[in-house]
Amino acid sequence: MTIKWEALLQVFGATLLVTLVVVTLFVLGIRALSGERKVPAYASFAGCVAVVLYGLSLIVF
Amino acid sequence: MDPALVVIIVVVTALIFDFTNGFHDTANAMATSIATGALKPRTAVALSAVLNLVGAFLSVEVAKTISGGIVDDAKITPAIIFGGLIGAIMWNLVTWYAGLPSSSSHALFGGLIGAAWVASGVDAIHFAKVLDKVIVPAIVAPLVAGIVAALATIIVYRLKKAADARVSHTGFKVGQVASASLVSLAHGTNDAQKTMGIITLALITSGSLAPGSAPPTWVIVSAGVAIALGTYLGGWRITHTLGRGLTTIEPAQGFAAQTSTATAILASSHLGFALSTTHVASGGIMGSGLGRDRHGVRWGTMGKMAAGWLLTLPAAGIVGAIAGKWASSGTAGVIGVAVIGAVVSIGIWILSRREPVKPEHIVDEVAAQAELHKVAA
Repeated sequence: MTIKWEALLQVFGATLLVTLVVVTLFVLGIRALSGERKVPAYASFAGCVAVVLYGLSLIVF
Repeated sequence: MDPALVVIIVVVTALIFDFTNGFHDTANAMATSIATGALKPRTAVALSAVLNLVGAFLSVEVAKTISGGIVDDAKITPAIIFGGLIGAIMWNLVTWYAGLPSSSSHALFGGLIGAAWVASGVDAIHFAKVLDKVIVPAIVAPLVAGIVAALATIIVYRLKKAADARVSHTGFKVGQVASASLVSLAHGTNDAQKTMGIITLALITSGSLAPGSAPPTWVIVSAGVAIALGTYLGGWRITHTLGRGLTTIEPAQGFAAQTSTATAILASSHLGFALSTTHVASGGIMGSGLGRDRHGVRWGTMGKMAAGWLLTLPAAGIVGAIAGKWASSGTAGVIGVAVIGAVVSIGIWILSRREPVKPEHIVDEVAAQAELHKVAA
């Protein structure tokens, strides 16, 4: 009976990394937006979108 | 009975299960967005339905786990699978009626394992695979989503202090809709797969497909459509429990919870873990509740839910075992199981009409809850 702990650890690592990156970028975007700093705000949101699309592309291809 | 006919019955029953899976699980993705008012209930279910359909096409890893490993395809028949599906549908309907966000996936595994065990003996089940791909992920994935959601919530609340309150309120509502959409997509990659896996398994056991085959295109399309239709119908009873029963949810918190839920499910789907999206979503909501306020979680509701989770595998297993044993005895058995299954389903549906939970109820209650907050603040 073998449990693939490595695969479970991958799930944990990927979830932790991706979630914290997306969430942090998003909040920084909102902070920039409240300070009327449009360029950094949109750059942060674009970063979120890029991370999500990259993740999905890993699953599809 | 003509074996081809039994396969057709299994396909239809599997799609019915998929449909119940859809309306049972709408809440996982959309409960928090509906609860915070980021989306109107009808818009939420329509969006979720479309994304479930898209998700169904993204991956077939979980389908392969179901069709190629949990049970021994040489030892079971389509009639046994039929019995297992009836067990799963019964349990899904009972828990839906009670408003319990139990796992459709575990209902399916329970039904299938119970039916195969009783009708073909214990060797028909690959317990090592069940442990590795189902049981362990069932415990780990909600914990992962919960821990990550708690951390994400802490970060969000720390960093958003410096932001303008109005901008951040609107911003997080948008973020919440985006993350809820990802959860729906993730749901399609994990739950629609389960029905595909079951239909593929039935086709393999009847000899129409070679063992180890991936689901044919028509199976992917029909499973995706069935789950999307079920999702669109909306499981308002469960949305009601999950949207406000567990903890009070703010948009920023819903955003953190759902981002971690979606990521955990997508990562697991990719590795073929057939986990319960329900458990992961609940784990995410709990984690973010703890991240925001240690005392903000209703442990009583959580306890009831956890009890429902533990019961799901054995309860669906027992019904599946009885139905599988009877259905595999011949034509009369299959007809008998089908008739009883239909009668019970209609009965539950009639009961649910007497005390309907409609989207309007949820919106009203959320509004009432917001009032309480104003008073407290």
